[in-house]
Amino acid sequence: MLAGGSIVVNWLCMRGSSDLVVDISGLRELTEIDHGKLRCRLGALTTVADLIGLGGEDLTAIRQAAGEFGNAHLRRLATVGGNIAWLKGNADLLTPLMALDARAEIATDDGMEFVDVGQMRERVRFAPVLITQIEIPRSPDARSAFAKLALRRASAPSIATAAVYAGLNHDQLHKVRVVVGGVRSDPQRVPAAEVELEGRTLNLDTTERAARAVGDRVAVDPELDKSESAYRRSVAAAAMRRALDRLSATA
Amino acid sequence: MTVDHLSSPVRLHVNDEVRTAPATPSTSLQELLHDGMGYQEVRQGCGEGVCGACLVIMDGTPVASCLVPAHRADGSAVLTANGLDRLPGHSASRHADLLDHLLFRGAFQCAYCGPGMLVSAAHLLANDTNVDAACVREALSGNLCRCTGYHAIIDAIVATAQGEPCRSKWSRHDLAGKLDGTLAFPTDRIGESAQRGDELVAAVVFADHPSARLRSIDVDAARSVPGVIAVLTHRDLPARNIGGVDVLAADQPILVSEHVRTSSNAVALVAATTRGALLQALDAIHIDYDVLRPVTAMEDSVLDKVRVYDGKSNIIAQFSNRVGRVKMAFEEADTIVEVTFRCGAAEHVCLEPDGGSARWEGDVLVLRLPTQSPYEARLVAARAAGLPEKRVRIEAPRAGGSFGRHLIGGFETHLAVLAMHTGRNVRLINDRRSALVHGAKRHAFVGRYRLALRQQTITALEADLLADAGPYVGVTPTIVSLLAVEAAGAYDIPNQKVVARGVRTNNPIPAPMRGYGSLQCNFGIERLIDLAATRLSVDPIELRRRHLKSERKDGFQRTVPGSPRWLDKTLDRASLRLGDPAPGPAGWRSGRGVAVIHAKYGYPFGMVDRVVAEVVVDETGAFCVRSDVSDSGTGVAFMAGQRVAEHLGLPVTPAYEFASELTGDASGTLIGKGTPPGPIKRRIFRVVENFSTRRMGSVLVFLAPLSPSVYATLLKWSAPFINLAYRGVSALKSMLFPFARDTAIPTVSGSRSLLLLGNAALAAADAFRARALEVAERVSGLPRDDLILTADGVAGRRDPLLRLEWSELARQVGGRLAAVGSASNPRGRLLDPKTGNQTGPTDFMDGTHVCDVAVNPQTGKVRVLKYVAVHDVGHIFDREIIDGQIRGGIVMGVGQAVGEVLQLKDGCVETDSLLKLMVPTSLDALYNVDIELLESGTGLGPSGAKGIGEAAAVAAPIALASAISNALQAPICAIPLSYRDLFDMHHGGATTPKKDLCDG
Repeated sequence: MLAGGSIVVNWLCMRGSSDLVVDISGLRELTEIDHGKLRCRLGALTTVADLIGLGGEDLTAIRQAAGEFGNAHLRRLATVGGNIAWLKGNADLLTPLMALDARAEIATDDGMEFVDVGQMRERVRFAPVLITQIEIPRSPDARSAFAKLALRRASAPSIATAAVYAGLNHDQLHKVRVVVGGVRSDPQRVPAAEVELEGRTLNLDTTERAARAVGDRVAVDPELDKSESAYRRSVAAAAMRRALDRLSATA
Repeated sequence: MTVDHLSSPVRLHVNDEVRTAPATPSTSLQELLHDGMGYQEVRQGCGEGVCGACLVIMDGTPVASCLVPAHRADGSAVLTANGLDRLPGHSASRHADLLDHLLFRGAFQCAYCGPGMLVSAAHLLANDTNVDAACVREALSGNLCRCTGYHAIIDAIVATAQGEPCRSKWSRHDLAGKLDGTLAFPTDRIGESAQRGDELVAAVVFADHPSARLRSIDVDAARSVPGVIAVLTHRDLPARNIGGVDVLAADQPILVSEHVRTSSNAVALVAATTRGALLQALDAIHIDYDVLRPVTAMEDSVLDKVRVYDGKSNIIAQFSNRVGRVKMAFEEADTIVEVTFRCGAAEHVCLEPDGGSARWEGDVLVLRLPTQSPYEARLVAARAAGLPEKRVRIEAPRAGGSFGRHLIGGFETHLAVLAMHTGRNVRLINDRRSALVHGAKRHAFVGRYRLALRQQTITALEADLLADAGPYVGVTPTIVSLLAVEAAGAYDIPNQKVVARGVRTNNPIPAPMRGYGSLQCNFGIERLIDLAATRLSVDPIELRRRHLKSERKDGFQRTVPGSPRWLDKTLDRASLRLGDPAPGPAGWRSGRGVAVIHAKYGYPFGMVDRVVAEVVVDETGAFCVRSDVSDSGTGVAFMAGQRVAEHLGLPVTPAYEFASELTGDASGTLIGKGTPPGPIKRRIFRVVENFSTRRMGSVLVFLAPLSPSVYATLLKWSAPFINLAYRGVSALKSMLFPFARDTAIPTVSGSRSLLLLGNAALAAADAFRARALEVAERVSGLPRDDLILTADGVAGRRDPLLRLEWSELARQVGGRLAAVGSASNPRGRLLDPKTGNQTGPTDFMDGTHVCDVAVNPQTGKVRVLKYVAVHDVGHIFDREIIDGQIRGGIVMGVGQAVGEVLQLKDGCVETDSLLKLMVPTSLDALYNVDIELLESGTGLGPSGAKGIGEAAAVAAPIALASAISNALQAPICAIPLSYRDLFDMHHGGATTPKKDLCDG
């Protein structure tokens, strides 16, 4: 399993050897994008740069996450499959994919199956799998947005990420999903923030309430000290605020 | 079995040429192109896709070739920076325009990043029809530049896109060669051995702990790996186990034998025929340690209770500055401000990794190194190899950044012993992780300050300053001496008691960084004045203005008439240009900051500091300027050529060449007289050198642990004798060796090189003019007064038909017409006999930076709203180079204030990747910088020019810290800071960002 290939290549060049490395970059089938009306399928080897060209208002969060990923050159090499299976550090694409309720198709010794992207890390942690594609349900009246706060604007791991997805019905948000990443090992949904937005119109007040809910209720890594936890919560709330501002601009 | 048995050929179309070379599964495309196929423009940088130095276009797409396995590229079409005129959509003429715009603007300095930048730029220009600054910044987001701050690069790309004509000026042939790979960097492969592939590859095994006792080193398994030629430990060294810097003390081992004292220590060296074998051998080495508790805090070290080095005192350097009646001033003060300031260790981040090569030319060992101290490198390398110095030659090619990092060496001894042990040519490159974790860092600093004021006037300064020396003496005493002299910064403070000390710790080995201690002490005094202004509720700019130094002193502490300091002018102009406060975003906290800096660029008065330069024309008529000052990326070498071109009226700037024979003969006899020195003169020279540097230095190190009052008294009493001794040395040297260099002094030391190399080049040009006329007089038979120099050679003043071209003149004297000139420090005393204080550096860079910033209280993020930099540069020779130095310094300095935090824990560096060290990218750099240059004409360089290289990097972090402090209304007492520190400062409501950062 070669996940996070750009990291593994660096490791290989430094170490010089490995028992077995299978380079799957030649599997062209895994680079295809099927951009359907009901669902969008992304081959696992779709590069992050290719995601920037995805159409559809509902997929905006993915485009935005891709645009802020690594740097211009890393985006051309890094793949969506590699990023969501990467077990160390913050996989920034996981946050919007979770918000969009995406599933990953994986090949295991027992055959093919779909798992929620939020469960991916758990699966790859214990058994070798090959991610073949990511499937994202589509909804033409939905909107999404993503924001990332990092220590610099390129080539930096995120301090916190936030993605929000919502259907729009006469300016009212429904089926809201809020996902926050970076503050602990895996991204997480924040139901308290979703409640603040569900059935409401997006304005300064609802934005602030949802951001506060993120700041108050997001679960941070228990190993962080009190001060670091407070900082992560504050940054997560700021990321949420920015994501909602972006959502407001597209809604 | 190593990975080498899996090697198979990879076929590429590189720049329309079919190339095939072997690669293993672990070979990266960068390694294949650079090492396997000789494309030097594909540079090794970070190995993780952050810096972009290795960028190429593969099948139409720019890729970081360090992250592409070579075999994945098999059959691909690759364009390197040298093949971009073949890129579809990017014509050859447009590429030529791009190069012209970049070179005209002096967009690069070291230019190690240049080829990668070119690839990004060409791809953007070929694929985007609406190129503006924003999209260029985005396109360059994976290309790091550490020198010029991106601005000129982006400007040049936009100008190319918009079809702007390029105003041609000086031909930057030095930059052109760096961009196309024809000028090799130290880590490039050169020579027949490298081309044949029989050069060994080598690596260093560094210590895993900062303090430990070695129990055992098992290298048997490593030695049995096929292809491994040598695995060396301290037992295998051919000569004495002394490495590191040996200017003032010889206390650093090449390889650790018993005690590990820092994670910078090397434990073993490995050389192998292939990289696969090398890496497998490194894996097979097993080292057992008894781990000891490290001493990492300077305040603990100075107590001298737990000693770091064999029971010797931890205090390895002490200098003081005592003026007036400090005690009385404090007794009479109505306000006393007392604070402790800190500057953390910092990483230089030279884009080129640490490394070089050793090759045998007959029985001479030639070392190619990125060194700023070639004489020192030669001395320690020869000693390590057990060779006489005459059998070691140093080549110091253009380095991919230095910023002071290469003032101290290290791996020259590793290369020397490996080459000696194996008898083979060896290439050694420490990868990025090694450079970050084990490489040298800027001296960490802590200063306890007290400032006395009476009726809003500063009356006294008391400061106790500590610099972190790591475990060895190194060059720390020279830093400490300057801390003492510069503690009061830009201000005239009548009563001062400053004690500066260097202390041993188990932290990484330090190296000076851009300013040689100026950042540390200017940070202290500037922040102190800000705090005093806050305490007194007075305008910090006004408080500064009242106390600024206004006069320049010579080496005898006399005011130099007609040579005022323009510190006040820089402050006034900067304040005026900044105007009204800029509004920040809603909810952000805004503040204004100021930094007036007074940072040295000359060496201290009294030191025998001389630079020698030679102007040469050969029989093809090509000019060249030669010296032992290596080009560490500052542009100073090009500047020397420019001055010669101007002086002699040449149409083309001469090339610059590193003069290896000078490092082979520091007495200057060879270059001055054309014959090497005899054994007696060589012996005399060595004795004089040894006395004036090593012996004198070792005495100072020996006395450093004395109590400050005793030490100061001793220095005061001995000042006349020390001055006399130095004057004697200087006179003796000048008499016996008119072109002698001081081997203890780095040949390249920031902006000092401008002062001395510039003046030496002008002196050489004068001598050349005289020599050319002398030859022409002999050839033409006309008296000298009837001859004049022209752009083409020598012509008759009254006879227009008489023309002797440069090539002809060179042929008349054996094919090489040359003349040598030199420049020295201004005369002066090392110590003031009345006080025992040092008289200080020969000159200073003066400038003021002011800025408005906004801080997001929820995230700690900082946005610079306005930034103004005003510098007195003495005289402007090349506005673009100066502009690049200032902008690059500001970008580096901003990172040094906030963001670029090097994490150290218990003496170990935890920031092991450029993904973790937040060097500003093109998206983070500061572009809204308003720069004004003043020309006082009072500098010691050519035409009154001053240094500028370090000034902005010193001022920027201080100005930013000042502004952030005002924005958050909390005193910033330490840099660098993280966003989280700022968040804590705001939300903690405390006056300190962290408990241990500010205890005043």
